[in-house]
Amino acid sequence: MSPKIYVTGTGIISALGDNVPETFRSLSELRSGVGPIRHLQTVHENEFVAGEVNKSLKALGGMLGVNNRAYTRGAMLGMIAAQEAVLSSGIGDINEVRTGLVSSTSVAGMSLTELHYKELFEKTDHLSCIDSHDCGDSTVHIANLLGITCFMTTISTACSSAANAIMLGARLIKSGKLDRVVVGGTDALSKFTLNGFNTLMILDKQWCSPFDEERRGLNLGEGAAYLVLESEEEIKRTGKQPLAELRGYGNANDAYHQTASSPEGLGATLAISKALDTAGMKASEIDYINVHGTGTANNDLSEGTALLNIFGEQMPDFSSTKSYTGHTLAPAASIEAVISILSLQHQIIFPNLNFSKPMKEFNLVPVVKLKKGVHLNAILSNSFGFGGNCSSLIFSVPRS
Amino acid sequence: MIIYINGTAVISAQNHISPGAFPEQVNVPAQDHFGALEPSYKEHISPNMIRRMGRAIKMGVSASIRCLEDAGIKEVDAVICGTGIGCFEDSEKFLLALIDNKETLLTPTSFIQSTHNTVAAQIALLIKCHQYNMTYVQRGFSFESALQDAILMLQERDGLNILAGGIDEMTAGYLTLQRRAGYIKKDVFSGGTLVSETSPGHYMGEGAAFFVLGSQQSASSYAILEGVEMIYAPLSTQVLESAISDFLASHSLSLGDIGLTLLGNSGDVRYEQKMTALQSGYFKDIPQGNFKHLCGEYMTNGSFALWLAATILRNGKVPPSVRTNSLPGNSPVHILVVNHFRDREYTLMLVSRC
Repeated sequence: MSPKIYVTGTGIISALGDNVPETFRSLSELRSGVGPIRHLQTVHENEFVAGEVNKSLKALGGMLGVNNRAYTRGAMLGMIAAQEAVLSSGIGDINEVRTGLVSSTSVAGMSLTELHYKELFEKTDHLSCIDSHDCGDSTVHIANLLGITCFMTTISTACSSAANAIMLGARLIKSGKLDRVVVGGTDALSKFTLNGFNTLMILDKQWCSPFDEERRGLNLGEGAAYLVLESEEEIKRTGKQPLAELRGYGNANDAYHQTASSPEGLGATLAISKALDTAGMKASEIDYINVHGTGTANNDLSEGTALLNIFGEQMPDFSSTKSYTGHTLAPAASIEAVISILSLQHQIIFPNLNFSKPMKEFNLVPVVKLKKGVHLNAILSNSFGFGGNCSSLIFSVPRS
Repeated sequence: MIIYINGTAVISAQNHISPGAFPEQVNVPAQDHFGALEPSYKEHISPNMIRRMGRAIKMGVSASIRCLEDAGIKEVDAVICGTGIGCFEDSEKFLLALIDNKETLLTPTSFIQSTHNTVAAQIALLIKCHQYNMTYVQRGFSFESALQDAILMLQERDGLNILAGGIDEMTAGYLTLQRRAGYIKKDVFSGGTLVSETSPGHYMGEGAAFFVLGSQQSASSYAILEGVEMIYAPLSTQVLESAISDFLASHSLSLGDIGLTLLGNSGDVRYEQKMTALQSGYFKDIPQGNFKHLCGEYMTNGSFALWLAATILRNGKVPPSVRTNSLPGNSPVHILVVNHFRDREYTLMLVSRC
């Protein structure tokens, strides 16, 4: 039997709040974090809504006790969430056993670079942007903050990035290379992505409505979330009570189009079946699906088809939590992993917001009311991205 | 489990006529950077796509297809890429349009291609590979992370063929900014091996190198990939030395078994104290070489070094232009690559003769 991988800590910052308890409260009160744009300076600020972290750069620096000028927004978001994850896992000396960091980001330092790019060629004021532009920058800052030196890397597979970070972390533990690993992702909202998604005409100007026939597109968001994964031996050694178990994972490529998903949902279907395979589980053992559900015409159709391919008539409860957080891109999968773990811990399903009419292609109706006291043992979480990157994760209540 | 390098392809500042041959004439660019000599793309990519694609994408896709041809296979079980800065040309194009037009009148093409996973995605699309697809972006660990993932995967499941590679591009804007930040040498490259340079700065480079890795030896096998190791910011040369001997010991080797060490000297005096100390101390009795005087400095030039090591092992000879000391030994059995990026990311790769 494959070695078990446990989740012992979680950390999150998003439009739903600055930490796990605030996130749980917002979700339980069905309070979306998506609203008018306040922090990003863009000509589109009155045109679109977004799921911003309601903090200025200065406030983020304040939370960390650092000078915010030395960090990008994405790096600070990542530092805050990763720090919470490590604290909540009860780790004292981070290097007591082999501990790694696998982070992910898609937009990296762009939120800063885009403010100064042209000046960089004329003045020297913001030249340090050059060193914080790449994807590795936030990871180095997180590793330095946590004191991790043993292993670090960063993944960038667009909107599935953090799912792949979680997956690699588990594989590194299973291979015996690491004993525990901090995994997740971070992305700040930027003009670059807002305008990019706008050119693709897949932004909803109002609240997004995933899986609805009248859906108009996605809302962008920002944030960061990290999990601490530990080996079975570490759980035995420390006697810790894990929060959840990471049972399965799958990565596949749709190989259909650079930005669009195939109508038959091939990549998504493959990713889900690979996740079930590694978990050694049957589709019927999945109790709830936290769908990718961005609210675009294309994603929801493709994902819905994939769900039908796998689950057929026995569709488990499902919902998209993008209507609470917005689509946060790279960290979407780790944010949804934290939300899925909250669902497992509290035996609760957070409903899909803004849903009124099933899509005409199939009769798929998400959970639309808060469901408490449900029996949830295993949750499937999907994340699909540009470049055909499709990844799925399965979390369960920890087995003893 | 033995991992074979069963195919390679490389694009660099050197003139690569065939994947497994070392160029007869070494190209010395006489500039402050090593621009890649790009191959003709039209045999592998449609003219329409050549026009649209950024250079990182073209180099990555072209090297991938050539690599599969070299290995004599059409399908792989995974595509794993490493890139330090990704598709910078497309990012820059979209960003400049965004700034110039004040967030209006933008078109999506360069945005679509700006994501870091574009190269791996385009490869998957072109060869219709629905399997595992991954992109690593950790500075001087980007390519080595991809390699590490491939090794993990081959250990998890026998019989797979994996395409793994590293890609980075240089744009005029990126080069200018690197100059302004003081990373580039003030003079032009005039030849030599970059060892014992006394000035700050490096010569920037770019390129792509891909590998087909598998657990079965084939007629096209170059070498055995024994392993890869990443060491972040070692505090001293001693820390690095003990990491190197631990790495060799984990593969049942000792320093004396190494027939050639390829040390990635960038020529920037500010970052090379540890490399210089290794050269005159730890490795003093080992034949030494460099590769950055052939490809320049970029975050994924470890992929060029691996191509060079694999090629040397298959051909059984060390090109004189690679050597940086005068110790004999022309037909190494084990080659150790020791690379670093600005004294932060140190990487080790161990490659052996089949």
